[in-house]
Amino acid sequence: MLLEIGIALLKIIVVFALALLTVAYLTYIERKVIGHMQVRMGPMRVGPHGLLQPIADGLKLFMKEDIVPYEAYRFTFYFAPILTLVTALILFAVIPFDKHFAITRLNIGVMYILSIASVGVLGILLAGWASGSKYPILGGLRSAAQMLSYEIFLGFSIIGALMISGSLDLVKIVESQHVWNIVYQPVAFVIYIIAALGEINRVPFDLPEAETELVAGFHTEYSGMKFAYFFLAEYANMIIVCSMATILFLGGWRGPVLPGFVWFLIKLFALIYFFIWVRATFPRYRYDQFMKIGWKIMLPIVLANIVVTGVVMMMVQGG
Amino acid sequence: MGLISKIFGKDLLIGLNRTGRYGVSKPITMQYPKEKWTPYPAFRGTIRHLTKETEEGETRVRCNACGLCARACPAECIHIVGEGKGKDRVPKTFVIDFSRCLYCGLCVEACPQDALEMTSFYESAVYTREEMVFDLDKMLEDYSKWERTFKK
Amino acid sequence: MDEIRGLVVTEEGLVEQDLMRDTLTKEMWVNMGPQHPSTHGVLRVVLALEGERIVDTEIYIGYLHRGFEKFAESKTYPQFLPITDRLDYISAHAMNYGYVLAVEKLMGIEVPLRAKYIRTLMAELTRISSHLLWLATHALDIGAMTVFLYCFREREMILDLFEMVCGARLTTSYFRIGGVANDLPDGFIEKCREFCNIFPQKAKDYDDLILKNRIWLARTINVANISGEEGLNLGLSGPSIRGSGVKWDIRVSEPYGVYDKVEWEMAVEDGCDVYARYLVRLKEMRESCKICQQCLDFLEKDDSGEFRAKVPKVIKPPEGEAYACVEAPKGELGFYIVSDGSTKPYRLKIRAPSFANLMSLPKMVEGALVADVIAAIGSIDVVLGEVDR
Repeated sequence: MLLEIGIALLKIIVVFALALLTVAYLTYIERKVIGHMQVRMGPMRVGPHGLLQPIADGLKLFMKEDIVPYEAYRFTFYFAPILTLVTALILFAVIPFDKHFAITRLNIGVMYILSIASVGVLGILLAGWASGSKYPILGGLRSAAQMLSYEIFLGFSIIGALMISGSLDLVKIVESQHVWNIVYQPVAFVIYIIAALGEINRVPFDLPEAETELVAGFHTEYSGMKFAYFFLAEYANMIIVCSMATILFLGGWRGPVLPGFVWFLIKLFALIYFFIWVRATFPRYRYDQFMKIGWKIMLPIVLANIVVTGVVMMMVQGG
Repeated sequence: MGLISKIFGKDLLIGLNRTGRYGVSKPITMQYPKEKWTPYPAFRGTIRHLTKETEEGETRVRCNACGLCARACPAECIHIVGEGKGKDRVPKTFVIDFSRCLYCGLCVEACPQDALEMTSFYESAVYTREEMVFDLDKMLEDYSKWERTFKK
Repeated sequence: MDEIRGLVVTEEGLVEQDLMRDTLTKEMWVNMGPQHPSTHGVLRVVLALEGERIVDTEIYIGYLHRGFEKFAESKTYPQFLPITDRLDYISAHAMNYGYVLAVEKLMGIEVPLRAKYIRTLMAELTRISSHLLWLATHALDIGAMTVFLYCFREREMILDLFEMVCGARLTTSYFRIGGVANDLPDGFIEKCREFCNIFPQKAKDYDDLILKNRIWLARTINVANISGEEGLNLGLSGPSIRGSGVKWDIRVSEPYGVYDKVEWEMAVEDGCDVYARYLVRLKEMRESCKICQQCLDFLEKDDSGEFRAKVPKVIKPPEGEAYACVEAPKGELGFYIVSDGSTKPYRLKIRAPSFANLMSLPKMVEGALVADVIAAIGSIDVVLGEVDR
């Protein structure tokens, strides 16, 4: 009994320490990659090649003055970033990085992730509302509409993969993929990536924090550590959606020769690299166009995808 | 754009190709304090005074305090008081307030004695306003000694 | 809020009435600027919003007012020249050009041909650099941040050329009444030629990223429309009016410099929207490049060395008045000078293109969304130094 608790605690510590470190260094990777795409070097000053930059950033944010605007709702204003970060971090609990390496194995892992992720939206909505300022409220409203509707497409797009695997357990989903699901579900994969970009507010769908329109969107009034919470949550969410894509479509830890978690990380970082690449390349959609894409183009496609998958499965299995 | 290329996102792929290619190429930026830009000879940096050798072999400033530079200056940042008469006229005080200077070079152009020169010194930031006011002695110094160096 | 009729259960049974009767909605006023990432300086736009839709726009300017027109009255003619740099600080040569043209007109000075070519060359290089900065910030406003860095890469090359010629990169003060400050230095022509040759290839990078990008098209086509007629009524000029299909370019209608001696094409588009203005500026950059090539051809062969006309030491124009205009990168730039015969202007009025262009913003964004305001401000290319003067 004690041993089990000990192992579980160890797992939690390892996963969260790794997760936080990765999240911090993700900001560094992003700045470096975008820098090189823009023919410049990115951070170069702190440490060799700027390797200590995330630590310097963290220290700076940690030591900043904690400002609460006069018009803000105090409790909610503090609560929102905590909610956002906590929901982002507890998602790591079910991600299987290797066959036997997950904090816990839930038989409804997919449901868990979808439902917790939708709580995260509340944090952003509350942040926008509690700031008592105009740009945050516009950002908050945008994010409410955006994240709620894109969650639908996110949910629909993985149904095809779930149907093939026949389980909601993340480990079983990976194990069932003798051939990666992306082969059977290319359309769903593309839709998933687009919906994921919308879900985690990244270019070209970074409307809630569109810096050139809404200054900084929902976190305009946040500074210091509270801002850092949002920042970490955003990158943690990026890791989560990328690992979900890896598990659902790219065969998780499956791969020859190398150990499982190495394969997992390779696939994960390839996806993250793609997200950064997209950010360096594309402009931003307008709010109404973005909703139009979601409801008028993506929704019919995912629904058709589910129907086609179902029919094909019927024909193959039911014969 | 054809329908097929639209579905496969040809327009988007072109862009991704461009940034992707630059992502693996060499950056073109200069790491400033480590590497420094060498200005062209015409660069209009901080102004300094020039000296000349007189017939007796002594070194003295070229300026004869005629005041044309002060009159040409749009920012009115040159203040001159001269002493002596005729060929011996030299500036008693010659002060340029570089916190007001536009670095337009009109004073250098106006000078009949070619006494002023715009150097290529550009790291002229200091901590107080008083340090920005240069007098004659300061303007005869070699500015390059103030250039900031960066330990690698 | 519009009335929505519907059936409601009341004490008298089902009654049709306005469902929004008890709903209080009012428009939200949002201050965009003076501290905002994409108002290009200290422009303040007050927007009345209904949701994200704009019902009213009001522009407040003057945050960068430095009183240049009054200032000119206490400065001699040559002394005011460096001040004109600070009008539109990203195209200083063009600002200088307008001013010296006005003074030369007042005094009746004939400028040597070589000086004219040098001036034209500089003005066109300025146009390229100004348009590059415009494209960079405009794309950044719409979200494409990599274009920003690519544009700055080429702009840096132009600034290097400026530094080579006159020693300053931004506030150049290179023009003088009667010519230019100094002749071109050795090696300039080769370096400038090299730039003009590689620029069209480098400009392909921006096209790759945004010219056909579907997101860019969605954000710019049919956004911030303004017809040619409305534009003319509001005093729009420069690339902004040429994007509405009006063939109006000072370089053609009132040629100055050597624009009547070189071959080039006026860029006109009929789209009336942000995308059309974008295309006009893209084409103008390439045309400017062509003009530069032709100027370089002349300057290479010419060995007269006359870069400045004989001008009296003290500039003292006769009594009278003169108006001279140039096609600055932003539009028609005019200097109107009244002289009382002394060494200082009696009155100087600047017709700043950005100022007139900015006033078309409320018309452009009628009923648009917040994001469109950003695109509209970007597309008319305002520089607040020039608006507020």
